[in-house]
Amino acid sequence: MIEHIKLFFSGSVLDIIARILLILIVTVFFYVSFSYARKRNLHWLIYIEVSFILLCFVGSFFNVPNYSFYIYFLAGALCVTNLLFFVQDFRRDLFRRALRKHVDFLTDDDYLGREELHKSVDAIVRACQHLSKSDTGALIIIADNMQDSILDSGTLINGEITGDLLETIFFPKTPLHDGAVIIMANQVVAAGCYLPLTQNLNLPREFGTRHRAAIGMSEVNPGITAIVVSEESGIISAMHDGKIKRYLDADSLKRVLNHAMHLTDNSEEETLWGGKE
Amino acid sequence: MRNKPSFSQRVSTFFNTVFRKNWLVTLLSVVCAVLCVLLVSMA
Repeated sequence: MIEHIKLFFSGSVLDIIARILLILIVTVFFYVSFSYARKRNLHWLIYIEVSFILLCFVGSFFNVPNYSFYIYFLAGALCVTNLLFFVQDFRRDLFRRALRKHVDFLTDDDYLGREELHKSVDAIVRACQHLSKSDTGALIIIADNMQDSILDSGTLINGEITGDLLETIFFPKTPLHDGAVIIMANQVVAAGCYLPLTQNLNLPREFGTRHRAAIGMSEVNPGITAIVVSEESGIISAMHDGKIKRYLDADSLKRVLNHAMHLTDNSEEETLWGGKE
Repeated sequence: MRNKPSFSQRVSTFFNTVFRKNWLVTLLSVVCAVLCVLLVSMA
């Protein structure tokens, strides 16, 4: 085996580069597959794949009959299994990038100018004020990223943030009004999403399911900011990192939203939310 | 929702994710890839 490893990395420089490139490509394939497996809680798939590879490696030290057949079978099985399990994830991620739904790591175009973000903040503030005046309940989550399970629980929209769109979504007796609106990358990504409720029992009695979902979400995902408009009182509240700010007027709501959309510097975190615990 | 980060920030985010946050996945992937390529080349 050791001789074979030496042989593998011998030869011309071009040969060695080609082999290292091959290893890199296979590494990326495994990395992507294992990341999807982790995301989807399919840890057992990782264990099985790693065990089979190790088993074949150990087998290479012994004189196993038809050894080549087992190796080719393993390679084929790994490719087919990973593709079968994660073909939808591959497709969805590629599709999302094409739609610019997520903030892409390497594409400049997906990053947004401050002007657009300020416009969106104004639209959200206006919508929240209108919803508050008409005692219409609303739950808006502003996040940099969101679990797929939460996005999948609602309806994908991928629309521009406008006051009219938000007010229409939360209009009572419409199918989407009873869930959360998720805002990411300056887009209304999804509406009617279900969020985890907080298990905290020491909350004021007037906090309904909407508030509990907002607090629950801010506990699970501390990076997000949730805006809630109470259906009973029209009070606008904001939640971030499990902390609550109530009775927000237009100015304070704007400050919260500016912070949520990274339009302020880090010192604002401490002024607004009392810093990290 | 972030403002446009610089290229170096993006590269450091990438390395932070791959080598610090997901280091176990990266390690397993490298080990599996090396073994797979070696085994197939041997077979």
